[in-house]
Amino acid sequence: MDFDDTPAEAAFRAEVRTWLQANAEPKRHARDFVGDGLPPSERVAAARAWQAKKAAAGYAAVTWPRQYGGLGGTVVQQLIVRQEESRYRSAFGIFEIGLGMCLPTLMAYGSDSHKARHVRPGLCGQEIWCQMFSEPAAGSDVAGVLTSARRDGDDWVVNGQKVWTTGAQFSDFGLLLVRTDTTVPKHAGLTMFFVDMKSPGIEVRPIRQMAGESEFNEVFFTDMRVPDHQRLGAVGAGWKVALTTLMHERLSVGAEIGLLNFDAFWRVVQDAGQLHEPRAIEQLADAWVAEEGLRLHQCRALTALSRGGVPGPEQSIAKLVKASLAQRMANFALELQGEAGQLGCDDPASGGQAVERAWAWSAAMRIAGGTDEILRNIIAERVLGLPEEARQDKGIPFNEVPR
Amino acid sequence: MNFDFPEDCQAIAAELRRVLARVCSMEEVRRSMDGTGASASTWQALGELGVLGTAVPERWGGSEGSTLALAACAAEIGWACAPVPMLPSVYLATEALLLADDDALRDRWLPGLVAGDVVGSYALAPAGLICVEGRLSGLVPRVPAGATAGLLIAPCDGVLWCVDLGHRGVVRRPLRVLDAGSPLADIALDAVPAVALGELALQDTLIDRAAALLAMDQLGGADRALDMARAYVMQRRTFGRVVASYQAVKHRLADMWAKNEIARGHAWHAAWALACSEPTLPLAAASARLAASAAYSFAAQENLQLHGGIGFTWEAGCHPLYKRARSTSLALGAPAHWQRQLVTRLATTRGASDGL
Repeated sequence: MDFDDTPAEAAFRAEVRTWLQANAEPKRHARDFVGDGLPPSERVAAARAWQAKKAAAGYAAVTWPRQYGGLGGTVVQQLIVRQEESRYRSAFGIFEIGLGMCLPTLMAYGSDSHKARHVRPGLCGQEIWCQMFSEPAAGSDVAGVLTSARRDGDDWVVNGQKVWTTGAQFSDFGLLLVRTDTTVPKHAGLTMFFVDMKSPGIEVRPIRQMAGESEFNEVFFTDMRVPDHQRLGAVGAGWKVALTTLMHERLSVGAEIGLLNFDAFWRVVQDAGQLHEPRAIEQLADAWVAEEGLRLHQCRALTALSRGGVPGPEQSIAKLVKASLAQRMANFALELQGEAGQLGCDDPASGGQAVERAWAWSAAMRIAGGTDEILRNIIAERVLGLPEEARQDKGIPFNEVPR
Repeated sequence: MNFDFPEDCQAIAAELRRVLARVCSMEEVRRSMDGTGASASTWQALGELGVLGTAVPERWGGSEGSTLALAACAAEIGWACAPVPMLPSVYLATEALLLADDDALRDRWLPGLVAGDVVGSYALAPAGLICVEGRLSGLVPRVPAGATAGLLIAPCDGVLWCVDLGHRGVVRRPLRVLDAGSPLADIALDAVPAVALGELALQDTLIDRAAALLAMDQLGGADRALDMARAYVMQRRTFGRVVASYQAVKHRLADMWAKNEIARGHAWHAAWALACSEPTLPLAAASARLAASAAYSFAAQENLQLHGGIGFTWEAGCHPLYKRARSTSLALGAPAHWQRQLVTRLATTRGASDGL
């Protein structure tokens, strides 16, 4: 039993460190990204520049095959890059969906010419991707999408609406899950495409979120045409393709949710002079046990991965525990301020802003990427082997299901 | 990164699980709790298997194995909910003798402790003892296995003392306890001869080491409670459905699992820190105690709940886990104690001790 890098991992870590020292700027605070404080378009340009640098060094997609510009490396190496990079100013996450989900799906299902055309530009940050699965009536039940595509010659004609599309306003391309047949049961009538986000008939509208900001979007399709050669997988096999995409989401073992972590929480309590208070001690201990416990759980997962295992449904524990924890910590941190807890905080380097952000965003993180309730179902069914939820729409043609 | 028990430890644990399934069924656990509070046959089997001397050198009859192997065994003993005095005799008394550097006392006590012929114990509660010319007098309250122990290690005047409880002047008073499987007794000493084992300063390390081992025991119990709950709801039917198909039930089991996994990471980490004598042991041990106490308490109470009415009966086997979860979380310091320890230790590592 040990927690050390293998000699090969240690050598890789040293390489990564050397490269970062020469090519990146250290972070000044937890949410310090390249282009911070600049207007959105300049922020994106700064992020692209960083991504291009990283891709040239091979660190943009460690686990991808070399032919696609990756390193052909292991998941552990990918984690090493993420750990080391986390201390430096890097991109604010606009490439994660493309690199983590869309492009691996394209690599699995796209034609050779599509791969040749799209993978490298995506890797280098020249092209940004978004993922359009969720709809107003298809959230947890994502296979219930209503957006339709009708065949018309060599094209398909798309109508409908997607929602919660991260980065759609910056994106060049997007994965699109649509219904191509309503006369068969839910999962059987879906087909996957990738689309040019500049196509006529697409309209991206920002969603104003509860904290007032806009990071997610709605995307509307009105008679948008997509050529049949941009179909990924067979007609009617879209669910299988979507599962590939979602499985890659799971591969990002230990991905941070970017909210108040234990260190920041500790500083907030310390700055309030409350480290000795019984309630604070209880909250600090609770937070430490959860966060450090997840780190140790991840160490077990990495041990299994390094022995050739694949990330399983056990990984659902991370977000389930972390999002609620962030909500508890943020609420307690606000309570610590007493009546002053009602005030907002505008200093990006202060703990107060991290608390305010975590207070709002923990509510989102308990929903996004699998609600707490769905994650508990996954653990119950896929880890513990308990019976699946009853599905009233099972085996019924989609157009006969009441809605 | 290799965060798993090595194969030899896993093999020892697997063998122990087979033996305990035979000698320490839930029926045996209940029978023992109805009687003396200890399963003599289980204790004997643990002695014969060499479990009691897992980490003891061969010259004192031990198996000279690793502390990691002992930690793996602790989880199995917890899984079986075995009513045996592992905490006082092995995790405290035996460990104290190994930690202190006194071969004469080791020669005197270790062979008996390793064979299981002698039960050791430790004065965890503050004792009102005085020492006059190597003789101890006063009351030692709430001694684990105090009614049967042959050896007591007790602090007095900055020194840890070994007391042979076979001497005259020892009066034991068994106490009524919530968990009959973890018996306690008050022990009154009247000028009983004692031999100095070592400095009291040893106690902090000793308690941290015992905490790591007890956390593994608790983890085993928490796993057993989850297994038991899962098996029951999978076969029990209500309203024409298997109980495990209700979402409220599924989510409860998912929460039990999540707490157990958090506890597993911490307990294994503490076991590693213990086996490697890492400087992080105090932090790891406090974390493990908190995580394992929380997981075991939750798993044991929800296991009983998910059994419905039958769970409240003597025969169901839920109550030994329910009781052991409570006694193990209170013995060796209750959660509030370990929370304070944890935050103090975190403050030390963060150079923030003046903030406390």
